Amino acid sequence: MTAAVARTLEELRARLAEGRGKACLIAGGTDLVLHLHEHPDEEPDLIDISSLEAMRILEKHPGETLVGAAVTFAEIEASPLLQEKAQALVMAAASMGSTQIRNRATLGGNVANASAAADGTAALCALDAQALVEDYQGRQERLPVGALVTAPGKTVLGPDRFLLAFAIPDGTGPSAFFKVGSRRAVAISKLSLALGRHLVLGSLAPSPVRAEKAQALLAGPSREAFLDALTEAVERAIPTRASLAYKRVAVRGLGDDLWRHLKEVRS
Amino acid sequence: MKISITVNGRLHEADVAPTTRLVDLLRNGLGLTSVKEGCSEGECGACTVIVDGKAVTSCTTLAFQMDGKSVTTLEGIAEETLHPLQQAFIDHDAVQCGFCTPGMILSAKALLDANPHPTRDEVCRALEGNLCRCTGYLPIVEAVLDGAERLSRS
Repeated sequence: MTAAVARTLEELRARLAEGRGKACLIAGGTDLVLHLHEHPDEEPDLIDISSLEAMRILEKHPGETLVGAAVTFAEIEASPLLQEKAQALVMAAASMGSTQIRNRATLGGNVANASAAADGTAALCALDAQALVEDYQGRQERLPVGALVTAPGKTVLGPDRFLLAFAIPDGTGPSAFFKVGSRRAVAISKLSLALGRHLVLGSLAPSPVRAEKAQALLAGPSREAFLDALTEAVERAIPTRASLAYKRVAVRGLGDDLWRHLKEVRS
Repeated sequence: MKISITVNGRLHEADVAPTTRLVDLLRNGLGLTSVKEGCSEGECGACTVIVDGKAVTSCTTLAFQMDGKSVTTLEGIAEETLHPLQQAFIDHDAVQCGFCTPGMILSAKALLDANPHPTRDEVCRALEGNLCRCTGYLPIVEAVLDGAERLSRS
């Protein structure tokens, strides 16, 4: 077991090439440190990427906004650029954890940890964001964020690839994020609703679930029809889960929040 | 791994294991026992310290990640007399068992350092990550608002 700090992509690539398979990236640590503390038998070679320059970007590019994987939730919440371009992500960041957690937790960590309850992932999927994925040899590719998570805690990344940044396309329209947890603050989402180019439900399946029919009704005159479509989407996603009875109703509360929010934004 | 870490204004060289957490280094390595370990999962905020001006939970942070950084614990905020926030906590009876108090005061200090005149809502939000099972929070919020007043006068 070793620990190292990578401040540049070159350093990170070299470390990954060296430590093939055993390397474990750590940024804010708000999930990983708990895991390591509970599993002292695991001895990964840790590479700290929390100050890696290329992962700390927050930039406007033609047609899209790039958010580095090691940008923290506190930085997302405070970013005027993201407030303008990715309101859903800003709202998700603001509702995640506590001040102390938002100061450390990163967007890339939230996605890579692959929790079904990852608020950042839900917001990114709604915004139709792509992940810029790189391997230890410097080969880059773009993958839709929705295609990264394969099962709870599992991603397509594997030990040789890492998340560099997320690209959020322009023109996703009005966007917003609402969630319900067991209390108002510092609560893991039991269910979330994110709107961007897509309307998605988070904390329902390993990856966020699109609610196309409900999205189409969001522009219509009937709030009830919209809420009914949300309930249908939940019923379709988790037909046999014990939490269905709760979530099919809870989603209407989130739908109501979104409906009212959009009315306010448009007026 | 060898790290250089500034704690309460003093530079320390420490040799830490990869999975040594910041809370372990501060308590066991440097004897700074104001840093409390409560839940060990970043929920209760008892282990809160200030890293480069920001409140963080030291139980979710590894020590080796703090190489080159500056950390403040409760031991580092009082000078000749108590810090105005500490005195405000005493005056408002915002302390009962005291276990959450160091983390509360550091979360409050990080807030006031960035935002010297917070609203009540801003104070509540800054303290969301600090649990107190004794006071019911109201005296704590009063103490922070009063502490902000005292600091702006001093």
